[in-house]
Amino acid sequence: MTATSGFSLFRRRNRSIIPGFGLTLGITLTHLTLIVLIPLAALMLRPWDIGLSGFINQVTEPRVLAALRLSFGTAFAAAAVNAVFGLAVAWMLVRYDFWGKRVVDAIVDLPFALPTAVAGIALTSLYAPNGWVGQFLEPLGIKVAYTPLGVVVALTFIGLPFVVRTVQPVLEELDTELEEAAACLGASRLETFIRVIFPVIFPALLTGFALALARGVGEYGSVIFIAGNMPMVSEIAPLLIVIKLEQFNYAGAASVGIAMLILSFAMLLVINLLQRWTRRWAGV
Amino acid sequence: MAPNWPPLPAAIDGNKPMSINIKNLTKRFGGFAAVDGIDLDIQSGELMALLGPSGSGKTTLLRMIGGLDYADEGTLLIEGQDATLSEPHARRVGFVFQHYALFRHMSVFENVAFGLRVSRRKPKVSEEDIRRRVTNLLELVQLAPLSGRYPNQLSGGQRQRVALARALATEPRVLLLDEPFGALDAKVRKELRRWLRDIHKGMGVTTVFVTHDQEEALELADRVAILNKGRIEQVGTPAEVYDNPASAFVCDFLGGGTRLECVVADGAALIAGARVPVVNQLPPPGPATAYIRAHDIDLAEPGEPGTLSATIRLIQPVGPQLRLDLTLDGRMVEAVLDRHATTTPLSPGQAVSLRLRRANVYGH
Repeated sequence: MTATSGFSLFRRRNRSIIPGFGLTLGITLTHLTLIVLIPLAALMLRPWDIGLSGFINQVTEPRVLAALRLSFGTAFAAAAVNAVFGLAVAWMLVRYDFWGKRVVDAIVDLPFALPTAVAGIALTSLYAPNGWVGQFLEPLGIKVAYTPLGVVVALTFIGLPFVVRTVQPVLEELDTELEEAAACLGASRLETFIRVIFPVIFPALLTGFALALARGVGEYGSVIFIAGNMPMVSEIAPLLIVIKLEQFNYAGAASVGIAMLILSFAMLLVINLLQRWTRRWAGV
Repeated sequence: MAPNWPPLPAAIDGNKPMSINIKNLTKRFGGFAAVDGIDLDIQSGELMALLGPSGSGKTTLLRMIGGLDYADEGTLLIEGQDATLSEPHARRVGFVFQHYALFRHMSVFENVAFGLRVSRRKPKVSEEDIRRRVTNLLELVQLAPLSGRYPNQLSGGQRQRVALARALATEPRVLLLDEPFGALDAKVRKELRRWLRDIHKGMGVTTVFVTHDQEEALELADRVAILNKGRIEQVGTPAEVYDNPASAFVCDFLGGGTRLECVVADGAALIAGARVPVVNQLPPPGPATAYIRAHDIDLAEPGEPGTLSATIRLIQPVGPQLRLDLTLDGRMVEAVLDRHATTTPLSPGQAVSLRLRRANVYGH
């Protein structure tokens, strides 16, 4: 009896006009469990075959460390490049009307749609020392294909739409009155951008950066063609996992996977906290 | 409870208000002339209302004065200097936007300080001076305790006051306000209206505001310019434009009351055969339109000469007023009587005699 009245009290206090909380929560949890949590749990359990010391041995191998450094370093560099140029593309698409705008808008999504292997092969043939672009870079002493720089190029290609598509809607919603107000108060165009526009779009830019970064860390298809895959130099961590699998070193492969998982999670968490801080004005 | 506003500062040092002269100003969007050859002189220190329905060009005119839109034709002089093409900041104009356009990622304090921190401001204002001036302004708008809040955490009236403080921080010579009270509820509106008038009086800055609310314009402004379809219909003091509307549009827009068909003949206007006193210039003989305000209708003794017979349809006591909907010659007429002075018992369906005290009559 007491339990029932306690329950009804609980219900009353949590009454909401938006229905379906229980249903939505159920679906969300089931979906996340099946699609995300169970596979990740399996991954976490795998290396226990070799114990904690075995795990540490596996991930501190110089070859593994080099691969992790390459994967995260290039993904970070590519996301940074995309943050700058993706913002420029989004700005142009939102702010200006020009002939062929729709086409440019559609081109932005191509890296989403194109099979990544195709992109990798195309980029490799372009940037190879005898390729269309590579032949001009060769005399300057710049090698792109089969180097870490090539990895950055591939990841930049893959990550562009993430930045553009997250920044675009925020830019579209930006009230032009804000810029007019700044102009009336004496701010120059540059000042208006830095002090009025950029702080408002920065959280979205950070989201785009995080998505591009996460995608870059996990990218496989396009990179293996352009990277050259030399151990210690241009071998990315996902490829190393595949190599370990092919050698039937399942625990080793899972160890690298877990290391990537932990690093990615930590990075995304930091970005998320940073984003919350940059949006501290938004909520009460 | 009446708000207890702090005393206002005298005119800001070295901040003489400016006169504005507008000649033949025109702005087209596509083929449509939003502002169509407007001439308007605004005196130094004046509080001027631009009044008109939506699409009348009033906001476009205000934006051109502020330098946010540029005229296709015509000239704009601020204190005798050609400002037609100068940039907003060069005009030293403060602009308050309809939706305030506050910087939502900045605190109230930083919003107000923005205009003092920009690099164009020469000489540079010291941090100490910024603090002092912003604090003074926030006290003026009664928001000093909220200086650390973000705009999202403020009510509409508070945001409006931040926007005003921000515009005043740069010591403008001209203050421009676009529908300043449009988005506020009636009580806050009334309060802010009185307060804006006080600020204007205290600082003496030339002020132009846009509104579609005739009551607001008549209550607040020194002079009112009534716009229609990109042109000015009439400019005058509130009493002038209310008492002597220059056109049927102005009359209608300023609460013209009921529109009735009438006939002009022998130097008089006749409604349903009865003579009505006409206050404006009588149009040429022929059919015309008469506007009778609800306050200008009295009940009369039946059969008195010069009265009209009507039927009461609805009686609504509203506060001190008694509002009547009447049928006169097949047309709906609104009348407002003093509730306590009306001693005759009235009921719907009753036939009454009306005396029209005054009418404005315009030819077709």
